[in-house]
Formats: sequence, C-alpha cells, structure tokens
Amino acid sequence: MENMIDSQQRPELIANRSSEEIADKVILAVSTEMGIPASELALTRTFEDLGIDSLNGLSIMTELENTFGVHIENEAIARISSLADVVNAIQNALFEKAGGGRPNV
Amino acid sequence: MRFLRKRVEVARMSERRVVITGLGVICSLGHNLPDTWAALSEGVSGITPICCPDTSALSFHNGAQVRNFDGLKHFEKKKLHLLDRFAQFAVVAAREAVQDAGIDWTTRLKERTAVITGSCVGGQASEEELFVGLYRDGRTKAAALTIPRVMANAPCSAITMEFGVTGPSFTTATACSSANHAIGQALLMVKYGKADLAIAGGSEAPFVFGHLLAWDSLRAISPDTCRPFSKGRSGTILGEGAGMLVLEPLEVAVARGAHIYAELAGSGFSADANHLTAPTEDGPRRAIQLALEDAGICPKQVGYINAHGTGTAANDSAETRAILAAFGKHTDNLPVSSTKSMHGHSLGAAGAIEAVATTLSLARGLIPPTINFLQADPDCALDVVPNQARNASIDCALSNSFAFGGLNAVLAFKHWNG
Repeated sequence: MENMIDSQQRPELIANRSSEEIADKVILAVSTEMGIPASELALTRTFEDLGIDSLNGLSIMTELENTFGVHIENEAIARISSLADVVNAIQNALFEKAGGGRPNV
Repeated sequence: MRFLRKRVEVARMSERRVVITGLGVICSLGHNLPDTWAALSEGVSGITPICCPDTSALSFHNGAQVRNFDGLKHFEKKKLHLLDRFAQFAVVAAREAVQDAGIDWTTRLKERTAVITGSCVGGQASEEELFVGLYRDGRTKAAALTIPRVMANAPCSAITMEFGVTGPSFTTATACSSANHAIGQALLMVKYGKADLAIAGGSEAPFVFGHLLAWDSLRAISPDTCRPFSKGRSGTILGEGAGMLVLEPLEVAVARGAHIYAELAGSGFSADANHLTAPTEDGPRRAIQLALEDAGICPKQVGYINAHGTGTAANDSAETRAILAAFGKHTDNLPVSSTKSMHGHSLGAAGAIEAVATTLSLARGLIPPTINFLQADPDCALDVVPNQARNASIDCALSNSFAFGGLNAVLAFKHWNG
C-alpha cells in the first residue's frame, strides 16, 4: 500500500495544480518507488542517473496517473528522460483532459 | 523382447542417484534453517494470534505467520516492489539453500540448473491491494506491476534472476501438494540428466483478508489450534513461508566434497479422481507405494513419515487408513508426525518446509513431534510422536502431501551414510 499516493483524494480535486504542486507529487512518487530521500531529488535528475529502470518507471507513471486522474500515452512516456519531463507530461495530460489543448510550455 | 530388455537396462544405467546438498527455509518457526530446526526439535509452536489482517470478522484468529519479516533487510527498495511477499520468501530460502550447498557457479552449470517452485495461491497481497484500491479506495489505475507480482511463477523467475541460472525452470500449482510435485519434478530432471543441479521447493503468503474469508467459508480452519491426529482436532491452521532444496547427482556432490544431508530417492504421484475437498484412502496409498517402488525401498525400511497431517477430521483419518493399507503390520513400528502442528499449513510451501524437516530428521536422527496432541483418536491409530521429539536412527523416510482436488505427491528419502 505504501506506493499508493493520494489514493484517498479524488482526481477532480487535484485538477489544475500548479507545476510546483505537480513537481512535489512527482518527487514523492519517485522517492516512494526508489527509496531515495525526497531531499536528494531535483527535477533535473534523470531516470538513468537515479537508476530507474523500465519497470520502476512504469510503476511511477502509473501511480502519478492514478494521483492526477489522467492517462499518459506510451509515446509521451517513452520521451521522458528527466523528472522535469514527467512534470511536463502530467501538465500536458491535465490540460488535454480539461479540453484546453497543450499548454505553451 | 530381448531388445526391449536391453533398452530398459540402458535406461536404468542412465539413472543417477540424487542427493540433497543445500537447505533453506523461512516460516513461523524461524527465518532460517538453524532457528527453524531448533524450534522443530524442541516442539515449539509457531502458531499465534494473526497480527495482520484484522480477523475480527472471521471465525478463526490464529495463524502461523512469519514474524518481523522486513523485506528491506533482504532486497533493495527498487527491487522490493517487483516481489510479492511469497516471492520474497522464496528468494530468501533459495539464497540460504544455495549458500548452504556451497555452489561454485560456472556458465555451464548455470545453463544446466533447473529451478522448480510450487505455489498454491500466488501473490495474494498484490491481488488484494489491487481490489482494495479499485473497489474501496477509488483508485482508477492498478499498480503497474500487479500482474507479474501475482503470477504463481514469480518466485521461480526471481530465483533464476537471483543466480543467473538459465536451465529448465517452471512452477507447479497443485494446491497443498505444489511443493512436493515441484521437488519430485526436480528429482526426475536430475535423475535423468535433464539438469545437473536443481533448486526446488515452494513458497506461500496467504494472510490477506479476502483469502482468509474464503478459507473461513470452507470451514476447514480451526478456531483453536492445529492438533493433527488428536482427538478434539478442529481443523488446520494456515501458515506461510518457503522451503528450498538444492539437489544434485550423487557423483558430482561426492567429487566436489559437498556436505550431503540425505538422498532424495524417489517420488510417487497419483490422483483421487473423486472429490474437490474430501480425501480418499486409495489415492494417497498409491502415491505412497509408488514412491517406495521408485526409491527401491520396502515398507519395513521406512522409519519415519512426515505426514500431510493437516488437523482436519477428514484428512487425518483418511491418511491413517492409507498408511495402514501401505504398511500393514509395520505401521505399529512406524513413527508418523505432523510438523504442521508447529509451522501451520502453508499450502504451496508446506511440502517444501516438510521436506526440509524430513531431511534433517534423517541427517540428525531426531523425529520432530506432533504437538498440541491431547488424546489418541481410534480413527488415527498411529504412533504420532506426541508432543515431544524422539531420537531415532532412520534409514528411510517419506513426506506426504495430499492436495485439494485429490492430487497426491509423496517423496522418499534415504539416510546418507557417507
């Protein structure tokens, strides 16, 4: 159960989060999956340098999808390299879900 | 005909004797072999109130759980998420068994090593987490690795990756006989040269609420404790854990100077073709006789049986009749104990934990007792080694497993005089 993040919160309550809030959730998800203290994580860190393999990556992305109530396409996941890319992918998915198209970031 | 006889002789010549050179175990009695054997030989109970999940809605509250198990002591965090509790137990036991055997890995040996594991119910914790998340907690996504954590062969796969072994590897799922079928298959592989080493056993971790509720409905679990073959027995007690054996050809073990615990001499398999949950006398009897025949030992040579002995009314009386039918008068001189009275019934791990117990009984000359025994039951007229271990010089021993669905598997062991 420990890797279930915000499972009690309904996705609609989390919509339109600021990028800082999304970043916090991303760092929490990575920290939970990998056992790395959040204080050692920054958005510039990459999956590769954090030792996040394909299975860990899949787990992290699924937990974040659940947290934000979004679906992230396989192609978007495949392009992810850094934690900042994860934040962008979630922002894009939230905008798409809200029907607003892609944000200008 | 002459040609046929020749072929049979050639086949016999190509049979290799198989010995046990490594043991690993984790169960309610201990997280390793020394602790578990100490408890078995002292008649210590591993049965306690179930600490997790909450059992207040159930009619039973006791279980044989592995206490104080911290997966992080055995696996790095990023790997831990890949393994359900039953797979963690399997790897922990396999590491101990392989270290115990002192295997010196080569590329060739890795290619010639088989891993065969048993499990009855697979990754129950991961399955329950899925359903609790979806139906109670309002999640919209299942954890990404639910499928590979739940699959019954996850422990087998994890062990192959742990040691980098690439030989024939698979999982048997025959309920309470799963581990005996796994060990029996490993014996066949090594005996007939399909593998030069085998890591075989079983693992299980069934303590999640939904699964316990299903056992409750089956009315097979004791509200009290596990009292095999005793008057007043009221059902079995669930357990968890893993047992693993390292098997190799006798000649190889001798040549490399390995410590040999015992010979795994034969196996016998049968089906009742009768009932989903009620045992028969005939199916188990035939499995016992086939194991004796396969091992080339006569009933009189058997000095100990580690019984299936679940503590249910039906199993223990049917098993008694099967033993009486197979051993006749020799039954009077044949100690039969159920170590489930101490480590509970760990389903797909049961046969493996009991194979470890049987192997050490032969090697150490000590029969673990049937504890919680109150009074003899005329339906179970056996010498069940009640409540206290017994010193005994044993030449040959059997370990019985009889599964729901009527699938029976018996292993035959011989003392190693080396």
